[in-house]
Amino acid sequence: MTLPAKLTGLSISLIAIAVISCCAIILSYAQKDALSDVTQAGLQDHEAFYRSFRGSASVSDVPEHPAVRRSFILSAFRGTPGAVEFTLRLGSDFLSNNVGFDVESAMKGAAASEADSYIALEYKIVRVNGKDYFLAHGKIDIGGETYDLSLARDISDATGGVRALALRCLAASLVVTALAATLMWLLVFRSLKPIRTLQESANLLSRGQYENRIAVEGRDELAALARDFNSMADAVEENVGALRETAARRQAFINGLSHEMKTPVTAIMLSAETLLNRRLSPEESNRALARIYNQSKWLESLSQKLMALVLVQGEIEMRPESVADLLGAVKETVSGVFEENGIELIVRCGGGDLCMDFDLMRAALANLADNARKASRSGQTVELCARGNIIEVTDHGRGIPREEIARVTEPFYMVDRSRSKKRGGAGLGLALVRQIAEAHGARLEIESVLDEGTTVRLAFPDAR
Amino acid sequence: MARNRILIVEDDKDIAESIALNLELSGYDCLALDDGEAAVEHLGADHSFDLALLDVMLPGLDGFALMPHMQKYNIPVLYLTAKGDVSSRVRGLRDGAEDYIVKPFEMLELLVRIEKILARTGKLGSVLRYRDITIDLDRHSVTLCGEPVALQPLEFDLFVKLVKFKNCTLTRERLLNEIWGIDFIGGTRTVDIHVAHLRKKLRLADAIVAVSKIGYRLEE
Repeated sequence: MTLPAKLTGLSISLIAIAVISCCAIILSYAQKDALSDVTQAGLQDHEAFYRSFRGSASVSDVPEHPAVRRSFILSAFRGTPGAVEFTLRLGSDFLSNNVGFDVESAMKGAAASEADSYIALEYKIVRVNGKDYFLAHGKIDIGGETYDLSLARDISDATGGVRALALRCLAASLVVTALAATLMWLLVFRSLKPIRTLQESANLLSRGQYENRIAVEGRDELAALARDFNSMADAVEENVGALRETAARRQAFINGLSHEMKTPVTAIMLSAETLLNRRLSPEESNRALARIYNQSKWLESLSQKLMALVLVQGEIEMRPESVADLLGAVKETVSGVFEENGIELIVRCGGGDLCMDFDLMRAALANLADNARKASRSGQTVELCARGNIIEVTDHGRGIPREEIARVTEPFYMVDRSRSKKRGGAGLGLALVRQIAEAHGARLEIESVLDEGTTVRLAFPDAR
Repeated sequence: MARNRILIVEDDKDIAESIALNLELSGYDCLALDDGEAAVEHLGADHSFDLALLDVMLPGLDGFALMPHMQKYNIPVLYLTAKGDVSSRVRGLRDGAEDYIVKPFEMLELLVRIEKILARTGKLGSVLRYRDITIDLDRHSVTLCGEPVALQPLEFDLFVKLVKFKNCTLTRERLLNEIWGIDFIGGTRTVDIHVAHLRKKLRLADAIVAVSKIGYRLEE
């Protein structure tokens, strides 16, 4: 069941119960009052009639003869005002009865009228043949015989009035309740509009539309809910974005890897297939085997570089180390190759310590120094500088075209593919350096101008 | 009859060498270059090629950029590439290439595609020669030392296939599928019987070599 319907149903039920209870209480009081008026009047009239009747019947002596006595009593009875409402009975002889039923038998369970009444009276209100009657019964002695004198008054009008009132109350209650229900439902429906908006937005979010947000109106709990929903959507969008980016990077890496492997694999397959299917001369066989060997070694070196890349992705142990020691170690590692190529490596160190993994940083800087060397011509210099929390490698060689700078750290990306491959490059060096930088919490920055040179900078988070 | 000449432009030296070796063994003359610009330069001086095998990913001028030069000299193009994506394939074919093959590929597949292109462009020679046997494909006749030899239709087809793929081992199943047809209900025993006939009729007992458990090879 919908929320507006539930709330409306609940409220209306309560209102209806309240209204009907009110009406019932009021009506029962009205009824009680009406009946007590009737009872009072009835009892008084019975007394009045009794006295008057008694008086008339005692005027002269009661005749002896039963038949004569009977008509004497009857005429005295009839002569008393109000007799039409009364019944008179002697034993089983109904002298007068205008209501058509046995009043005395209907008196079962009647209430006794209060003490110090003129005679013992009992009274009751009964419903006979569709009409309400007030009955009051007493015994009266006349001429030594006990007569039953009863008032049988038709009070249908009085009771009918209350009944009609009850029906009108019911009708009015129903109308009022219906109106209230409609009004209530409309109000609730409108107030709950924010919840519907929330539900629609949550639905859109679940279906992948992460940009969707709710406009926050007002300051009540629903507004707070809308605000919280928006925060949640922000978090979801961010996380999904991050996940997608990670997945995309991973996919790009796998694509690159599979591509890089196809060429050596093709070369090996072709050579092996040739050896299997063809009859080759000894030199041709040797050349085919040499091709297989070289390409296999290339695959091995590729897999080693990949291992390095993967290992760095785990947690590394960092300790404060002397930057001067680091730069010294790098120089030692690359000095041989630099000398061979006639390129000078100048080291400038500002001193101090940095928190790092010594071996990884040495490998990263050696990689950058080697790249710098490959970009330079004989006679040029390469500078390796450290100051504060920055270490950078600068060369004055070939440079990197501006549009490619952003891509050089992508795995397998090579600016000049054929030149790199001739030297056995796989395009993984800078990807590895970036990985090492990220593991240290450092930023990798590259600045380059074509034919003027390149600077690669590692900016560490803090200086010690 | 002159052999077909094929130009290979592929930057990986080992792959280029393997392809050239196989094509030569199959009876084609090859020239391998590892650079797009070198190819354009060479075409200026010498462009009598019956087919060009171009690697799509070359340094400098890539395979697609070489297409107009090939078209200028009416040289049909077959692209070699490691890129498996459909857009490159579609582009290559739309630009006017005859066919496309994705690395890594089997040599036999490459040979069949080359043959089909040569046949389509009418450059395939209609006369095959092997030692002192001449096969005239148009007249469907075979002569040994000038004397005609009567071969059954299937024997003829089998021999032509062995000659076209000489020095290459062909499996019994492949021979059965390609010459007898895929619907053929019978074993590969019939291949062995026909080979025996060829050996006898054309005196090729030593030339048609049985490669144990695999198939046959016609040796140079």
